[in-house]
Amino acid sequence: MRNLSFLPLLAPALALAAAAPFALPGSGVGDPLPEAELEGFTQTGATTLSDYAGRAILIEFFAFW
Amino acid sequence: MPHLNELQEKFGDKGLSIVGVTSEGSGPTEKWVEEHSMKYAYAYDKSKALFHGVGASGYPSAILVDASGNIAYLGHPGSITAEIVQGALAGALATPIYEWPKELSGAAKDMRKGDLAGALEELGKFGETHADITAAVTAMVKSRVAQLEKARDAGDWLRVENAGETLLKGLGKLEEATTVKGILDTLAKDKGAQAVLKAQKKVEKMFADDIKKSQFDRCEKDLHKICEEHAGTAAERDAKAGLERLKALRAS
Repeated sequence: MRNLSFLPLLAPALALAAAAPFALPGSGVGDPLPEAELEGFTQTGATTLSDYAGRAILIEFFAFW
Repeated sequence: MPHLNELQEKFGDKGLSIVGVTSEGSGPTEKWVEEHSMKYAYAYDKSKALFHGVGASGYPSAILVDASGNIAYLGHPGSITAEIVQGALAGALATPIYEWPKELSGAAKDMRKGDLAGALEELGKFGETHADITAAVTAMVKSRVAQLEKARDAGDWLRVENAGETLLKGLGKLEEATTVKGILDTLAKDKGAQAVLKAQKKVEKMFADDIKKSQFDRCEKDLHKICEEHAGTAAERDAKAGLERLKALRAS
């Protein structure tokens, strides 16, 4: 498990990492997107994550709040 | 989130796809999507495999994956600016493969596997019929090679190694493969590059798992040592970022 339970506190450092073209060690930045099976794609013609091959993808993890 | 609707509107035809991912049930999710006028795609990650796989830890959070398939940003969705998105669009396909004409299903299949050479070979069978798509894939190939050259010029050997092997495989017999092979050969033969790569991997490994508080001092010492021994290199840059990260961990 990656050591990211302190993510909110790391926001400034992560912003810095994105602004500069390099990865913050261990943040996952720079790593390939892990393979994962997502289901029930809606509001798109895609049915799997691999359908986005060659596109830049912004993935938003959301829950109700 | 309205901000993401705007990004989708602005960059959708320039290579950006936005996907909302949730582990909530479909009924409440559909209601929520409607209530929040969410215009972009969404899908379910019931086991939270993707959420945990990318190292996310809370909601909402977001990752931006560049057109080469590497995570370019991880943070709060609201902090993803147009500028950050633009940085991830190099070589991105304007038309996603699932919108390609049916007769290009073979080429689309190759794209899903990262087989760029195979996709171009398939596209070649249709002559000029799909010239726009062929041009987009060709531009993507050139962009990826250019990004690798940039990483080499910056001496970021960890990035060269990670991206280079994948790219080389995808390029197959395309002439660009020679350039990529040349860059990987440089890395293999250059002792200085190897030393930097080794130090970069050490920093990466340090943060790959949870660091215990008792290990903070030791890590800090190791990172300072890398900064001294590899001053002016990508390894120093990574180690400095690691020190910042350690500082944040100590403060938490």
